[in-house]
Amino acid sequence: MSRETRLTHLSLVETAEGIANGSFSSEEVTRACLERIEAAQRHLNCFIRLEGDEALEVAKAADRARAGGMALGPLHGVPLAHKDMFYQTGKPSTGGNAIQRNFVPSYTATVMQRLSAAGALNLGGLNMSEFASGPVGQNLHFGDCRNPWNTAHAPGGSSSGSGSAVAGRLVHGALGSDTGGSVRIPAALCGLVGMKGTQGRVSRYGGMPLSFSLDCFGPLARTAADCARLYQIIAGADPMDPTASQEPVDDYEAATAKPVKGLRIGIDPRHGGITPSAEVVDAIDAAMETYDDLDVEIVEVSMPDQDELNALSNIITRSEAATLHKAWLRTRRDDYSPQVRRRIEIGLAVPATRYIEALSLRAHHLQRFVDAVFSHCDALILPSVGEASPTLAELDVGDSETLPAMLMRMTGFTRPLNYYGVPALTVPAGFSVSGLPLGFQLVGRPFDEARLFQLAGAYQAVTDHHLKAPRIAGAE
Amino acid sequence: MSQKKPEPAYDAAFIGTVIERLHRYSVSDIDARGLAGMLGSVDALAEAAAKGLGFDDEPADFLRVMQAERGGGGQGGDS
Repeated sequence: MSRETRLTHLSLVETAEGIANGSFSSEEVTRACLERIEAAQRHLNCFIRLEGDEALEVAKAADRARAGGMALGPLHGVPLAHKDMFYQTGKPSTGGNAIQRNFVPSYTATVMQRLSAAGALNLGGLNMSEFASGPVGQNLHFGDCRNPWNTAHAPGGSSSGSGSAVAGRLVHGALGSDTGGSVRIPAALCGLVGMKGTQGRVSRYGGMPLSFSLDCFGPLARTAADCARLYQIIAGADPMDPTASQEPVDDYEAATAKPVKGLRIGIDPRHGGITPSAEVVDAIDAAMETYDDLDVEIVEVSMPDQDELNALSNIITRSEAATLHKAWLRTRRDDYSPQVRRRIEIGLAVPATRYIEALSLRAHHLQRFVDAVFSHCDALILPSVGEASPTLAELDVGDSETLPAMLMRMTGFTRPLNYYGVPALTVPAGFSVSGLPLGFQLVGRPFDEARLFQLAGAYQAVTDHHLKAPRIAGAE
Repeated sequence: MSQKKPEPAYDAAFIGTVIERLHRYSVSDIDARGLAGMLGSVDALAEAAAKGLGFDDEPADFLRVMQAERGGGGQGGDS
């Protein structure tokens, strides 16, 4: 392995520490990432826009700041890149769609401000599903993004480029957004840790909206500690987003190193009424054995069935998305891909009463879920996706009659958790016989993200799934 | 005596009319059929769920339950 490859394969935390203690410079790391991106982009298509020259200048400035003895942030000089939907003043933000291809926002997202203040570099805008709508990673306008473990397979969406780029060792971490699974699905299919936090834990200011009641912005990273560091930086109250919670932010990174003995993990043998593949069942069984070895108590729980929750979640997402998109649906209809247009337009025919019913029922369902699950355990384990990544061709259903079945197949385990508003962390759980990553979700009470990072950190301390990296032709 | 099959909540004609009259543009018959097919099953499940709604339930109740049921913040295991 070359020095450049060694640098790209370090975790985010190791990279930040290495830059801070002078083992290597931010410029070296950034150049190593840019070289790998140059080799991998034609295979993965995970970048919509690369800002390499600008990032190198920022890296050099970061190195000068360190040499000058300035105080360093927790991400000082670390190269990241993000789903192309987090606004930065004066920089394009396509949202993965044709209508905003040349959109240049006049303000900056709070999450981007916070990462920048922590010292992070931004290498550019990552590929994504059009308008953050789609669990596969296809994109008619910017080309399909591909899974670094096998480029015939889907990276998952809608944060497809975030999953592909971080797993492909092109950047050390990335932000995505999750309305029905869009952080956790690519994290699971690409072998990463991905956090969809408690509703309102992270400010949504300056991010392209899809559904303001359900949208959650969150990080994808290679380790629990990496993910925790990113999440800690972006979480917290924000005067620019009155829906962001005022709850104090826990020390998530410290939680990843805490002991887990005596904690309880719940498992529903029926997984809420959806049957995952045998490989996923085996991977979760193996994870339960690992937790048992860590003296975590395993308890059986019975969670409510997911079908109704998926429907209620869909009612909210489609109604809110249709409201946002109505003007463009009327005037720029042909600028949408047929599948995305179908999924958004459906909301125009939902009565206001049905939408408000779905919102009003959230409290009932959350209470029922908490009572059924968290009165017995500290966290629930659940598949993220019920199988390893299917091929892109297999999932290419357009707006055909099989679209609802494909959506359920990909989001059946994730979407209900957005409706509940609870935190859910995807964790790598091993590999399928064909060498594709598998993942599970740890689900917690509202604002109990630290518990999930604690359990994920303990699991990764005794497993090595997260240390395995895909080989990319021409990049090794 | 045969029971009359209930009309589906959504069909292509209804969807086409709603979009044309309430949203002031038109969609093709193919699109209207696709939208009706997709919305029908979701609406049926949502209608069933709505039976659990009380008179004074409202969306903000969700925030109250979130606060009441919030977790302890990773205080650690017992070792």
